[in-house]
Amino acid sequence: MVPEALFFSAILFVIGVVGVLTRRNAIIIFMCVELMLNAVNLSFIGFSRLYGASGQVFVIFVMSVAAAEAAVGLAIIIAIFRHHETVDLKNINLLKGWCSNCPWPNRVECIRLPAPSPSWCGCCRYCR
Amino acid sequence: MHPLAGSIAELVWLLPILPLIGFVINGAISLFTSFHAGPADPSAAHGEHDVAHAGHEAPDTHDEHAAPKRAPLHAIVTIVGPLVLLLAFGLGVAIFVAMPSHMATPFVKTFFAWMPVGTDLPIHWAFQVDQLSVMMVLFVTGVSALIHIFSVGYMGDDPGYARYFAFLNLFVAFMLVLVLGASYPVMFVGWEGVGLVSYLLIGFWFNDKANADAGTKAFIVNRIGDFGFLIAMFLIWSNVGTLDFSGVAAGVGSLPAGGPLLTTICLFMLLACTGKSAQIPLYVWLPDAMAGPTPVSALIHAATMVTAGVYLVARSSFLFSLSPVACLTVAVIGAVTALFAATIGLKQWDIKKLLAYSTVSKIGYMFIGVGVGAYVAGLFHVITHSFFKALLFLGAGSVIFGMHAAYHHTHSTEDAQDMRNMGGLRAYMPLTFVMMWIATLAISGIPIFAGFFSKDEILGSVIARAADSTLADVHWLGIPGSAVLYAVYVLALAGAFLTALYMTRMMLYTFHGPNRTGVEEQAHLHEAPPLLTFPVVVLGVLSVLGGIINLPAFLHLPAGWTGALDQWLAPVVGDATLHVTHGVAAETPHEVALVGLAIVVAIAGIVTAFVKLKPAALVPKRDAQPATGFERVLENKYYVDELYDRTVVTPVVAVSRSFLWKGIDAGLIDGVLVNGSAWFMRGLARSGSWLQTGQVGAYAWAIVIGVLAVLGAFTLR
Amino acid sequence: MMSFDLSIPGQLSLALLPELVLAVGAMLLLLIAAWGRESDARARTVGMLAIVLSLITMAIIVWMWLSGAKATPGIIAVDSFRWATDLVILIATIITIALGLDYARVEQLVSAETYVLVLLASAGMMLLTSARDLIMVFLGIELMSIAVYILAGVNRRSAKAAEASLKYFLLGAFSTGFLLYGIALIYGATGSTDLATIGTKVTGATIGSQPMLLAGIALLLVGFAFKVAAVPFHMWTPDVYEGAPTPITAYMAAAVKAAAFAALFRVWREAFPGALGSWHLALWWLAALTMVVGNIIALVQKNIKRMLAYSSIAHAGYLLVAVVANNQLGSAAFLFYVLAYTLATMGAFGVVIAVGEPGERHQQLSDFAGLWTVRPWLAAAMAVFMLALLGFPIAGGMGFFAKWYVLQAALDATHPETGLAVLLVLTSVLSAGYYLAVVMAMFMRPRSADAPALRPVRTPTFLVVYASAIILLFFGIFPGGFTGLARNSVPTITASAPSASPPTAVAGR
Repeated sequence: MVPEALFFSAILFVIGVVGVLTRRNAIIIFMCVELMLNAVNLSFIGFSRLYGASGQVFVIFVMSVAAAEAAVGLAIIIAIFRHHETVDLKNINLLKGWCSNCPWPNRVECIRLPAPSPSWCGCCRYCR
Repeated sequence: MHPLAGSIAELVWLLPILPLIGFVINGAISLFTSFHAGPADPSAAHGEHDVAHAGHEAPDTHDEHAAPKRAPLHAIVTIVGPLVLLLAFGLGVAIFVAMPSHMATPFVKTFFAWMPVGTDLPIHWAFQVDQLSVMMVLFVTGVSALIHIFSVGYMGDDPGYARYFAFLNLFVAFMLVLVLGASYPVMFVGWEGVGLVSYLLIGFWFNDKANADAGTKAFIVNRIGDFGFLIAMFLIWSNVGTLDFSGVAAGVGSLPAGGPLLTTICLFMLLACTGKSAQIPLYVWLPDAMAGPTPVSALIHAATMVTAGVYLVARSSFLFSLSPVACLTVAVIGAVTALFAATIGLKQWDIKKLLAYSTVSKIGYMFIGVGVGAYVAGLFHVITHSFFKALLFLGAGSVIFGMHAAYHHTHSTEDAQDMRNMGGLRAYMPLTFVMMWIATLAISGIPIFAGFFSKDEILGSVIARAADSTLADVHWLGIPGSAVLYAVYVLALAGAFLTALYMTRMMLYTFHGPNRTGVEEQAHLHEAPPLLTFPVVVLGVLSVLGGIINLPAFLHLPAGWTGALDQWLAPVVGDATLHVTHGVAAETPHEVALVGLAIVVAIAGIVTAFVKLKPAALVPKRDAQPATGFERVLENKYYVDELYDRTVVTPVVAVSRSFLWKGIDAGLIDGVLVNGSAWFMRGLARSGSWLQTGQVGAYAWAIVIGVLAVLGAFTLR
Repeated sequence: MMSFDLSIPGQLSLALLPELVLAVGAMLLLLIAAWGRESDARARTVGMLAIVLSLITMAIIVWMWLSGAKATPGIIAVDSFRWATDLVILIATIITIALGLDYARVEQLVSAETYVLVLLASAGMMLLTSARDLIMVFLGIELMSIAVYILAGVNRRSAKAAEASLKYFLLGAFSTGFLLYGIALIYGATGSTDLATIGTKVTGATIGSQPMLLAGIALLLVGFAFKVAAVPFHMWTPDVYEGAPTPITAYMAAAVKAAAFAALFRVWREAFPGALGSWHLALWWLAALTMVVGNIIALVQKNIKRMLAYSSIAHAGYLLVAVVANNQLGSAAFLFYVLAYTLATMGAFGVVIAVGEPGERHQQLSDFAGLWTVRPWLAAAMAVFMLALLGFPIAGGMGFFAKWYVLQAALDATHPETGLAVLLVLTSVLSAGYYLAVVMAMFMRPRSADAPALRPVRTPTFLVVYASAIILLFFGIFPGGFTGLARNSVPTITASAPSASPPTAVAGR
């Protein structure tokens, strides 16, 4: 019974990981993370057959933590939606240290231009 | 339980703290006043007159022309500066009184773990109270207190008055750390600290480039010595495993006595001593150091700091006494320096430079003393020398003070420190005249005066060691040790003759004969104020009576009168001395005859000066002809500065400029290594930044790849 | 002398007194914050009270430390290592709140809950430093992380802050999955989540035949590596640090890292010394990569916050060297290092706040040019922080000794980590390239003509910056007292571990 539980738990975990890697929607990624946590819960349940009830206690802990995480996570995703009107992570990359639209060869950082021109290259929102 | 535990010696931490408090207060006042009075500009305050006196000190004594502009907090500086020293001296005396008459082990007070380096090297901030350190504390604080009082009068009108006292207090604080430190690293803090303050005070009037250069020179030459100190410390630690004095003293027995390792340690330490104590080959900075104020020359460059090298050798007696070759090297360097500096002293015209060479020469005698394992004799000379040399410098300071005041009134641009411009000052400065003669007789080694006893003990020890000691048994550069020691004796005796000669010459040209200052100026020459003469008189008394602390045995005085210092220091250096003398108390053969010889030589020097020199024939500096022949060589100090310049400074600069800077530094290092590698790294960094796409998915991929890599690494065990 | 029997719930609560006081106090503050209309004055009051609460907690910790509190073995540790790290965390908390008060004024933010969340996160960190059970480790990490996820996005007007919050949250939750799976596998392999019990079961002899245990340790390591931002689990760090409000960035760089490292040290010293052969290679490479990558990429950063983010990655690499050394000296070095690093990093962020403009503008390196001419003391303090991070002696204060002790721990390990030590020194040289660039800009470049006039430095930032600089310098000249404290704190966490390296023989003997 235990090896089966562990096997399916591992499968579930990998499904979660693959979901995180392949999906772009923030909510779906978060659901895949929840999948990973539940896979771990399955393992704990399986181990509780070997070592007694403590494994099941851990599951309660994990579930309550996951619930708290869900509350916070959804709030953050709503905040993102207010700014971007999307939760597609492809469009959410203001922060990367360099500007993908910048025509200048130096892609490391938006740069300050010499004096006569405007002081910032101003090629994107990040550059302002 | 140590006898000093719980006594006043527990307060030993207060000793350096007291002058440090003075430094903080005076330093704060100095900063405060400079902020509120605008940037200090001594040249403006001194007026056009002192600009003309470039290279010489210029205490401002404009008391009749205009009311001196005193800094607002002047009075506080005047009180705090000397007071902290008097308190420290009082504490030193209290600790001295509390010490039992024979204390076998030092009292080490550990305050906190300073730099615990692993478990192998726990460096504690600890002070050591023993006979040697208390002796040093007493004379350092005592002489410092006197010179602080002198400075109140001497520097009173200088715009940098508060800064001056801040530095002077800081110097004493570091000097006390140097003598109290219970391990080489703590001592090194003081060692470096006094070097720093010395640099600051030599360049005290830094508006003049020559003064600033003199400070730089002292600093750089001393760095060469410090290199030796550091190497010696590293060698001691790696071979003995500790740096505490007591630990090293106990552990050094495991090293082969007289072996190359001990000799190497001692020679590196000697290098440090030659730097700090101005011995050949690193003596060149001391004469230039006279660019600082005269009380500084008296305190730092005559009485205390420059004797730190002697103290280091005495403190490390447990090392040196095990290496006869290093001991002989110390003695030979001391002897050669003593004679060499004395010959230069013969032809100096600047009164302070003359005294500087005299100091170099006298420290040479101290090196002879500690070099032949007569540590007590060497330290005895340190103390008596500090009395009479501080006296000479303060007396010279009074003279310069008077000369300068006179020239200042007539707006003359003459040199106030050149003896050719003095002469006949006896009539104007009678007290200074008497005191200076006392010091001259003391330094020449005339009986009764302090210098006689200490110099004589050193010379006697040399003969005793030459007759029978571990030093006499070894060969030094192939020469038998006893022959080396006899040669040292002859050199020292010749140096004694020259000492008497040049000191008498200084007295003759300064105080005797007709006055050459100038007709107009003579009206303004007068004795220095009491604030200046008081410390001079105290030092004069000490120069007469100082010998009492270690009277020789051949006087057959009642018990308790002779050899007080010998008995006092026996617990510290006694074992080391016995090691040098084959474990028996040294007996000097023909002692009375040797003493007689030394007295004859000294008197001969004085008489020669009186017979040969004609102060009346001397002309003022402005009319003097350039010297010729050997005199010129002497006047130019054997061209050693020029020699160093040609052989060391110029080639180093040339190689640095053409090869190291333009070739290696600018071309190879900057061009290829620094800029090249910088470009390479920037390239790497840019590609690294490109991976930073801002996409959560990419970051998740990085994590998963990391997970797989970590899992893989766990299977590869 | 207090002694707690952790099997009795009452005594367990007493042993957790600092955490409970902090958490309960934070809840009460939340009530004050939520009572009535939101106002700036109320937010400031809550901030002040939060500082007071932290100070009270510190006093409790000092009291428990001084009274020599002890406990029976159980799910939490009552030892000096915990107290020492807790104090560092609380210092970081106070600094964060102080900087936050200033930041709120500059950015015109009104959010009293920020301070409450900081306190809750700190309670989680303190739980983490005391955890002697893997489930407690998980709870501590989550309590800390969930609060910090929100804190990163607490500036609701900023799109960058929201993005930082989202990235941190998604990737953090993702890494938590690995951490938790690791815990589950270790539990499955050993039948326990208690560190001491695991320590007795994980021995070198049988470990090769326990793939489940190995995978568990590996995944647990991944979870920690994410929290301390070790390469290649560091990608989130620069983005999140740049986007988060500056005080929170300082908090993440210092406190979060300190707490995660403290847990890493405790878990690795108590549970897995027996598996050294297995984890050594992975940790070695993590440390090496983190030092190299962190330092190299920092070289080209022009945004100071981003540069400090890479610098914090590099410092995680240095600390991982101490973990790899796995000896008592390493843990002592950690305690010294973490205080030096906390003060230097938070001080530097304080200067960034003092120099910056509303909207987090003017945080580029060029904005620091000529700072010496307009704010000499601020520039001097920043120079101290940069030199401390570089590990420069005297002027860099504690920074030098921090690196020195880590190096010593590395060379003193049972198998001396010479390679890592050399790499540490070389990458430190590399780091001069960006730390000294800041110093050079401040002291040797003229202030640009269009640079805005600086605001006066407000009291909280003033206190934080100068107090940090003075403490750094003081313990840099007299490191002895603190080192002794750090050394004495360490043996207690290593009770179950095999004794560390034998004292090295004196060279040349």
